[in-house]
Amino acid sequence: MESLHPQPVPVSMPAREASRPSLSRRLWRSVRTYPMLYVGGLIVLLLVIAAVFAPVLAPHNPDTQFQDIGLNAEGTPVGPNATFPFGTDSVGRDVLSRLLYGARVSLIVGIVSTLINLLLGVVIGLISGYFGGWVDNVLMRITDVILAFPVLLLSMALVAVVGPSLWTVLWVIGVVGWGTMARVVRGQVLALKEFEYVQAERALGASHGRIMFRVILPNLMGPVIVLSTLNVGANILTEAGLSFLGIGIQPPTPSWGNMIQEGIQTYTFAPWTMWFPGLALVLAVLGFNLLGDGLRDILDPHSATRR
Amino acid sequence: MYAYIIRRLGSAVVVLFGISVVSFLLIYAIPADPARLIVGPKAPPSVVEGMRHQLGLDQPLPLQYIHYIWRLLHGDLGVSYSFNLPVLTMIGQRLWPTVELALGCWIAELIIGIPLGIYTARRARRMSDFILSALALIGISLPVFWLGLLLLYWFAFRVPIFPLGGFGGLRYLVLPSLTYGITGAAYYMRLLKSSMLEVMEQDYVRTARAKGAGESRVTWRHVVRNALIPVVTFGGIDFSYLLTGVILIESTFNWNGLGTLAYTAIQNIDIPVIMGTVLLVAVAVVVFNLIVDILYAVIDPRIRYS
Repeated sequence: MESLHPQPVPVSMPAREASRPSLSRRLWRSVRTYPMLYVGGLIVLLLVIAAVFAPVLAPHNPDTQFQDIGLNAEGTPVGPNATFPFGTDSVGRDVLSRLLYGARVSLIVGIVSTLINLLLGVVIGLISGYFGGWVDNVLMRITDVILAFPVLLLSMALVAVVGPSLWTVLWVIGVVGWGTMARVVRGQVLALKEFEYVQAERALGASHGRIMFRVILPNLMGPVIVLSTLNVGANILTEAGLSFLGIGIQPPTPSWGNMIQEGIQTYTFAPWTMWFPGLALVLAVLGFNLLGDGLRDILDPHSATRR
Repeated sequence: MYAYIIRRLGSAVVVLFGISVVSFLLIYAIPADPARLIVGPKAPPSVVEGMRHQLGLDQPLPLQYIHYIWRLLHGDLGVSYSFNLPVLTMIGQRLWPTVELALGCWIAELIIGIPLGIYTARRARRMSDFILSALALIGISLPVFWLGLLLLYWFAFRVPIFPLGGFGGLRYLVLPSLTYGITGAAYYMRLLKSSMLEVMEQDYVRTARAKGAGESRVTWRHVVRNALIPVVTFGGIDFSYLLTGVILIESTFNWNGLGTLAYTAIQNIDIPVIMGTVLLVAVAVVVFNLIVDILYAVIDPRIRYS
């Protein structure tokens, strides 16, 4: 109501400025309120920087086999040192450089496959929840079918028949993993479509498309963003699992999953070949999980379930 | 209640039908020609045609599907391309190790997750809750195959307490189960904690306190019992994640189960075996969830009417 009684501007403005905490203090308060959000965001940011600037940051070419300085006299990998900060692998390649390039694979697969999950899940969930009736029944049974297949197993089968490559992995995970998103979106739509502002649009003669995509969709963004963020982490793990099994990203292209696989041969005498790719993976997934949980605290405070 | 069970059964049948369609399409609507795969790349076209006819691949797709379903209903999952054995026999040989591993993993999850959930709920917002919650987040983010390799390194190689992988007695089961237990327990812990915190706010808990019930009686009799309901539901959902974990763990620990079977089949592009395993797992997920839902309706009358 204050706005109805204009205050003498010159007097109130400086006073308000003074009482307002400084930017750094406000940031600090926000960091203390949402620590997960900021820690997660920082990890994800570092990951993006590592992926984008891999050619600049990598000390060596990820595919160069340093058979002279990169291997010991017995032909075993060299441990972490000044030239190779994270050591070398079984054929004398720099582990750090491969990790940085591996971040590209993880991020591209994680994010693009999530976008496909998102597109399919949101469209199917929206239509299902909005129209209800037999449409809902059919779409939800289809969702049940896709949810019955464990993502990794169905991806394994699909990749096996199509042939492994970055694009296959990306598409397969995208097409297989939309079930949870569709269910969550449908649940939200069922609640939202009863709200008065949605009813009002309908009374005004808005088309179904307009109501679904212009009225309901913007109100779904909270849970959808949270779920997508967590989904990126899950999809990164699926890609790593596929690559670990040898049916994902194919060597010599570095992926954290296939680096762990290659590390199995050397890890009894050169454990770093397996430790570092695993740590990178944990950190990346943790980053997205923290960010997702942190975003939920802000965007979707009522829901407490996950997966 | 019967109406609910019948409705639930009906939808399960529809989903099973959908699963059969998906696995059928995967086998037949694939760029790779199964006939060509069986006879090898050098066989003359006439031989390939003969094999196509023998497999029924020259028939229209819907007819092929009917034959496929017919064979499925008779327990015929086809014959492995690479081993020339019935797929069902091959699955039968590998089933028990996988069931054993899955049970071990599930028990490990509950043994770690449930007590930690109760503990953190009672210590909410204290230091120990904060530390355990942070550890839980890390646990969720761990790749199960990598954790398995770490445990193998420390507890089988450096300090040889347990065998270096393989399938056998109880000693072989400890590390793989623990691997999954550590990564999966966090979900149970977090779920139970948030569910308990919610139940603690309920009026009946306050009533119990007002009537002079002790803290441990309130926790165990009133809070935990009611808070376990969402945990039971999650047990059903978890089944599918459990099977995913088992596939990766089998490969890490050289465990001769269904996951290894599917993995070997994928290496050989042995499509009947791949699809047989995928089909079996999907059917298991549907049946398991059906059982959980029905048990649930029997236990909790509120579910039936929603």
